[in-house]
Amino acid sequence: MKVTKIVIAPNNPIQKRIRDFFVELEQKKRDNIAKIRANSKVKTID
Amino acid sequence: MEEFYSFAVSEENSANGIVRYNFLTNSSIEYDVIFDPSSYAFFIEESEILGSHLFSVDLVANISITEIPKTIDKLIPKTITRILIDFYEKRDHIPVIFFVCDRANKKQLARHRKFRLWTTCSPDFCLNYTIESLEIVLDQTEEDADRFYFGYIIQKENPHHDILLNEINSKAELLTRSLK
Repeated sequence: MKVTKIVIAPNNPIQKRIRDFFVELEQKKRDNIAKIRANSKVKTID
Repeated sequence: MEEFYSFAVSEENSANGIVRYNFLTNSSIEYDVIFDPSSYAFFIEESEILGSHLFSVDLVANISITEIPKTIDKLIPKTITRILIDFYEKRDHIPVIFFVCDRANKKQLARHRKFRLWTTCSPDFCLNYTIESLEIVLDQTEEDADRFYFGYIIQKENPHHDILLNEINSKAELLTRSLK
C-alpha cells in the first residue's frame, strides 16, 4: 500500500484551501451518514 | 473457525444508488458497510472516466463509540475485505472506492489505520487491487499539526486503471499546489 505524505508549511496560504476542502468533505460525509441513520439502528461512524 | 462473518446485502436502493452490506459480530455488534455513489467525492466526480463508478465506503456500527469493545476482532477487517471483493465482483471490477478518514474525535489516524487493515489483511486483495492513501499535514508548529487522510482502491483489472490513478493523483496535486 502506497501512502503519499504531503507536508504544507506554516503560513503557506494553501493551508486554508486544504482545510476548507476537507471540512466540506467531512460535512458531506456526515450529512450522508445522518440521512442513512435516520432510518436505521446505526449510531457510530467507525 | 470461520475466516470472516457471514454478511448480506441488506439494502440496495436504486433511487440514490446506495448499497448497504450488513454483518453481525460474535460480540453482537451489528455493522453496516455502506457504499455511496459519493455525492461528497466532488473533487474527482467531474471525471468522464470515473462517471458513475465512484463510491465512498463507510463503516457504521449499531452501538455508540464508547461501547465498542477494546479487544481486536480480527474477523471484522477480513469481513470488510470480503465485502469489498463482493462489491467489485458484482460490478465487473469497475468501481473506484475511496475512504475519507473523518477527523471527528481526532481519530483520523485511527480510521486511516483501519482502512489500511481492511485493505492489507488479505494477500490476494493486495495483489489484485491498487490501494493508495494520501496524508496531508498542515504544519502549524513543531508540536501541532492538522492531519488529513483519505484512501482509495482501484481494481487492477479495471481497463482504465492507469488513467484513473493518474487522474486521482493529478487532482490531489492540484489541491496541494501553492497559490501564486
